[in-house]
Amino acid sequence: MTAHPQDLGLLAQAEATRRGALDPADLLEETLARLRARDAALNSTPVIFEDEARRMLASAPHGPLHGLPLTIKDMYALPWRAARNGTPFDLLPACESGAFRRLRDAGAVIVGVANQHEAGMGTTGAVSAYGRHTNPWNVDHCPGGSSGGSASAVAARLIGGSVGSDSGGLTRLPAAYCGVVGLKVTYRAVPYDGYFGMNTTFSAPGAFGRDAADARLVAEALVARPLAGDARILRVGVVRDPFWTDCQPEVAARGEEALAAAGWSVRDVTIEHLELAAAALMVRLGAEAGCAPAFVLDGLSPVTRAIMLSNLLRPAPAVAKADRVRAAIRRSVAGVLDDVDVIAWPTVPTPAPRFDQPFVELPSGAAPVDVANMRQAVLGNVTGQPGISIPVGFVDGLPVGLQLLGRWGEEAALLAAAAHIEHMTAREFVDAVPALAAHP
Amino acid sequence: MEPGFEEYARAVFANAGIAVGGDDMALIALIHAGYESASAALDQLDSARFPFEPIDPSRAPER
Repeated sequence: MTAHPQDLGLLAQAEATRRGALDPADLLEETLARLRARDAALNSTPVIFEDEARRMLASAPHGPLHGLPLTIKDMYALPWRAARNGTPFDLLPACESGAFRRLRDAGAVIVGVANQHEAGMGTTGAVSAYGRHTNPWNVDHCPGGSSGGSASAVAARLIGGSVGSDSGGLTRLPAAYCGVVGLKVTYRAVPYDGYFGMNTTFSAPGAFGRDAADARLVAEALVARPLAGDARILRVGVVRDPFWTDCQPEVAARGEEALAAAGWSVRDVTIEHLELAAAALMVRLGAEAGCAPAFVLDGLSPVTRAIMLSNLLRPAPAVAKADRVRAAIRRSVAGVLDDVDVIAWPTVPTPAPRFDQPFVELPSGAAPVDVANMRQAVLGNVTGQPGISIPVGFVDGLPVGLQLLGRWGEEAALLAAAAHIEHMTAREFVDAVPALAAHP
Repeated sequence: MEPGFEEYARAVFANAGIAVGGDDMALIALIHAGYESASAALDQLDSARFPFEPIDPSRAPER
């Protein structure tokens, strides 16, 4: 082959290795070389496992990911490395996490740790023990978070697929900012042992790929079942306010254009108490996540440290209030999804902001980046249902995404919907390559 | 911020063996204000219509 193998998507890599056109050993060495050569400006993959990856390849079973390099977020323990969650500390001891086992058994080769926002407590990627990581479409802009390293590396053609996590949009948001597909799987669809997200009832692993087919390969390995589907005919529900109305208008327009291109039937729906979803998550998640020990706190950035400390001050009755809201929202969403197949809205309210821009301008006024992003994202975490972000265009030269929320366990429908949008938009947005990744 | 918040917070942190400074407290107060706002918002739910019910987050929601 003449092209660099990481210029192929993950599925193309799999097909090339299966038919003997691509040697997995060459794929691994070329991938390691590209990560070493091209990641300086992105810092997407700050830890690379050359020896461990070669050992994994040597014993990789002939599963669907046989010999395919992947990166994995710092929230998962590996047999040779503890999970650090974007901090300097070994927070979960080295072990075979459930996600690692699923990937290994599918034949994958883990080549590095994907950078992430410190402790998973941010949607920008501006803060990490490994240093901030950047957006390949413009390195002055954030890649999103907390799984920003996964999204950035996939978008920059450093890696064909990556595993992140999502406790409040933290797979879908960076996927949208970086122009890749990001799927949050259903809560508990993957074994949670060795996964830092086990400490909350809102977190689920996430699968990244350049397009739906690539994300599907990663997701199928994670959930250990096939995820094939057909979404040519789909009933789509939209909640206009605030998901569509309080976004930058160009962002909402890209989403509307994608839905129109898909040709699906679209109708307005109402989710009761949606406006309280972020508040319920904030109260409940804070109580669940708790506070790190003092020696860890001393090694964290001031804001992350303060968030953790403030978690110690939550009065217990507030958790019961949050659960009442959560129960009501879960019932309402279940009812809506009896009548439509998916609920759709823009993944992010604006394109990725600059690192020096802590607020985004929305029709309702200026809002902190994290607050605006979480509002768009938390519904899927409150209900536990799967969600996906699909690239649907550009605003000011930066990608934006359309988010779909699906029924419990129906990741296949979301991936099929993403594939359908790709097809109906002639793959314009999933095949777009950032300039940083376009040179040979 | 409600009166006595800082004293309460400092006592909690002292009991946990965590030393906090003035910069910590300023940030914590800011975050706690957001939390209190969120907590107050949760009171909007009509508790007669939506009584407390246990949630099993590992099961699919039902209408």
